Amino acid sequence: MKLHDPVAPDDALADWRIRDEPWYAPVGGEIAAFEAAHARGLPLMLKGPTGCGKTRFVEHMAWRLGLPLITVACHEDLSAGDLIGRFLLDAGGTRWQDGPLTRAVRFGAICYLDELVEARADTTVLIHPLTDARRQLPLAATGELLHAHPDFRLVVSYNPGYHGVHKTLKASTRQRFTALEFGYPDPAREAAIVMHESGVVEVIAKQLVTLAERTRRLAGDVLDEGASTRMLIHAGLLIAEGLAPHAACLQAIAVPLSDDPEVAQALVAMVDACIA
Amino acid sequence: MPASPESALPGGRPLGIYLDALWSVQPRLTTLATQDDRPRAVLSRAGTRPVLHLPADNALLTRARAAHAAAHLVYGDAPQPRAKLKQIQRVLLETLEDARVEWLAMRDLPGLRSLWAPFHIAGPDDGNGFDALLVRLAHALFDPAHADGHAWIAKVRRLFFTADGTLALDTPQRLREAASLLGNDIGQMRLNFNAAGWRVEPAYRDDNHHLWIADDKLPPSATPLEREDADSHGSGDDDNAVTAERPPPQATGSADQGEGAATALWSEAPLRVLKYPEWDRLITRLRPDWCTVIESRPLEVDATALRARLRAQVRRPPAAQRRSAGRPNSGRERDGEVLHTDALIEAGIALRTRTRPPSRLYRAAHATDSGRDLLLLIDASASTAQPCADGRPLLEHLRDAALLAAHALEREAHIVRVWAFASDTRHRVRVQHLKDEHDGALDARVCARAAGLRSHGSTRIGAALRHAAAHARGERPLIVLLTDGEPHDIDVHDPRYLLEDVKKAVGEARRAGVTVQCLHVGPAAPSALRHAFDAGRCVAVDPRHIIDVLLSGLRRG
Repeated sequence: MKLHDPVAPDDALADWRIRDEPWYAPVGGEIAAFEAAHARGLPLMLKGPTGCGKTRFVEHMAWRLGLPLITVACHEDLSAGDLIGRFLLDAGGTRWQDGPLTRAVRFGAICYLDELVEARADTTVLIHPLTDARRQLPLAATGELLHAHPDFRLVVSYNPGYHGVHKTLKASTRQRFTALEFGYPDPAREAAIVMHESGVVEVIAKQLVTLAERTRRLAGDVLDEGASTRMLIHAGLLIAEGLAPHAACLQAIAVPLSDDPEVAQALVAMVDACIA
Repeated sequence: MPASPESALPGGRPLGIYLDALWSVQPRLTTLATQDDRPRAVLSRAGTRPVLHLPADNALLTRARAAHAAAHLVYGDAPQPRAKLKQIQRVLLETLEDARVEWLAMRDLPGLRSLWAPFHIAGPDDGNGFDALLVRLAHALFDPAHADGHAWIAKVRRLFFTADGTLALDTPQRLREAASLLGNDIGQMRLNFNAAGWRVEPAYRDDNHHLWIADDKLPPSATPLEREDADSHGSGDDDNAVTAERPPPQATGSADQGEGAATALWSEAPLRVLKYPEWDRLITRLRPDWCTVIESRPLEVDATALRARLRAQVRRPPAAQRRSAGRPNSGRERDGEVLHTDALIEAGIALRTRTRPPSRLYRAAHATDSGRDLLLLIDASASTAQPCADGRPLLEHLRDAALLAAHALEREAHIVRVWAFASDTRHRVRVQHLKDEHDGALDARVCARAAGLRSHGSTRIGAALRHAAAHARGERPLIVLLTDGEPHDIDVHDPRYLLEDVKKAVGEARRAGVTVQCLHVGPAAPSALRHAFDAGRCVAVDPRHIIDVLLSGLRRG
């Protein structure tokens, strides 16, 4: 494991270094699993529902391993250029600008592709040569063949739940990764996380967790996904700010969860039932 | 699956979701038709799926009633015999049981207190008759902080709660003993009970008849309930429920009488008759040539109105898309992967002449996902005759969405066909072609066929899928199944049989390079059906959103 080096003045990745420890409550052996994959340079996929702590875990691990973290939120219009880089035009002519992936490969960072499945298929295949023994990134536009820095690591997250009928990860991509399954923490631990992150008292945190647990029963049917831990923390923060718990749950949980007026009506009634 | 002859509670969906999410109970919700001026909800636990009959009332009272009934379902015990308990003791036991299940429900969901509390208003001012004491007792047990002051009520409270405020009467036996004892107190207090005029209080509590084992010697209830038979659009979460809820109307040998017995609705001239295998989970083998698929076209009927309505609904492409066509900037974007040569030359000239260079320097990315072979397969079984929230049958929603989606997708150079299917035993799986690849989605003939489509028969999905997959062609073929239920047919009694067959059919299609997806439309959750499809390829959709889900999903590929 690398120690926390002081940041060199010419550090190209200074902006991506994490100085303070991101708080993370481990739920199982995920820290050891991440460190083992890191030690052997294996790419890692984090599977799990939205807002259950995948991104926080990666931040925590980047800090732990003393590596810069470059995060890319994937979306359906994410092009190869967005990841690799592109020529820009300035007064003198064209100028190559590294994309986030290229920067991580060139200078050695964890590149975290959040929600990889959202990216276009032609973008996803870009990472293939980086994920096997070659550890290369060919830059077609400049003709450069980039060999990955020894510190370069690839981590992706993937939420198998809500992409519906049309999106899954291709086997050729999927099989390049080692994977860790993430779920929502058990109620006691989730309440502790909500208390730590938002500062609400235990009684409130438990009620929030009860509400979330109940909404998760609707996942896949009337909701894409149930309320995430992140949503509970948002509700907790609003409560800590002085909002009434009921109003906070409507704002942070019930209203964002669904646009269907009937489902929204049921969610409001559920908030009534769960929050004293 | 067969259509239900009953209509559900108006506005029942949010309530159903509420009950399912909070307590994992899915009672069938119906409206209680009654002349009673103080109606009470009636909960029936007799069938495989509980039924909650709710009087028409305001939303908050209805929710309070539903939550109370759910507490009975979740925390209640099996019905008890009336034996030896006097009427007063039975009413007392009911009051204690109501308080017990509510206490447990509020322990898990503390917010329920504020739902029920406004109905508990009884106190010493209501008098000291037995009826009044019961209502005051209900209040005192509901709210331990409520001060009533009556000695007997204080005694019941001491019996009911332990010193640290938990439940003392936590078993049916203890509850019964307490009710028996307290009934004797009432006798000694010389209080009378008018059972005929009695209604459970407060108003949100149900009549509690479900606490007792049905007694045929008693006169029938004064409350007229609708038929309490099995419900066909149940969620079907467990296999037993499916079996019991769907008694095949012709389950005997007569259903399996071969190809001779065509009904009037099967009178369209067949285009082709084909045989397909079917998976038998018990012998874990495909039964060869087991299902007969009859291809036909629906009878064409006048579709002027339908066509006009569909054409009015055709979405215009987004404004930005319309604007971009034919402009000097067309084909150029601010951002992209490949530089646009003409734009670069213009930019170079602009820089040298010190004028403003164009901002769009990249070639626009073109949608490459076109030319797919898409087949929209509509379930036209009898259950799709059920009206949706807007009063129109579900089949019309499915049909309209399929045609509109086909129209939109054809404009994106996909090849789209629209078929419908229904079955009447394995000998007659009808697949009707509404639209084939050379028809325009909104052509007069296609609309005439669509208007002639009728809900009828059962849902043998596996056979229809095999037929569809066998006729897939072209680029990356995709079959989208639009259904409201789970596979069902009147010659199959094992609820898992057809589900496993669907799973096999989907797997066969996948190996043949055909993707199969399922959009599940309707009130019930596609719980069992989902497992038949590849992960994430079966989603539940509200009838109003079918078209959006179809289009957004297919466009994203």
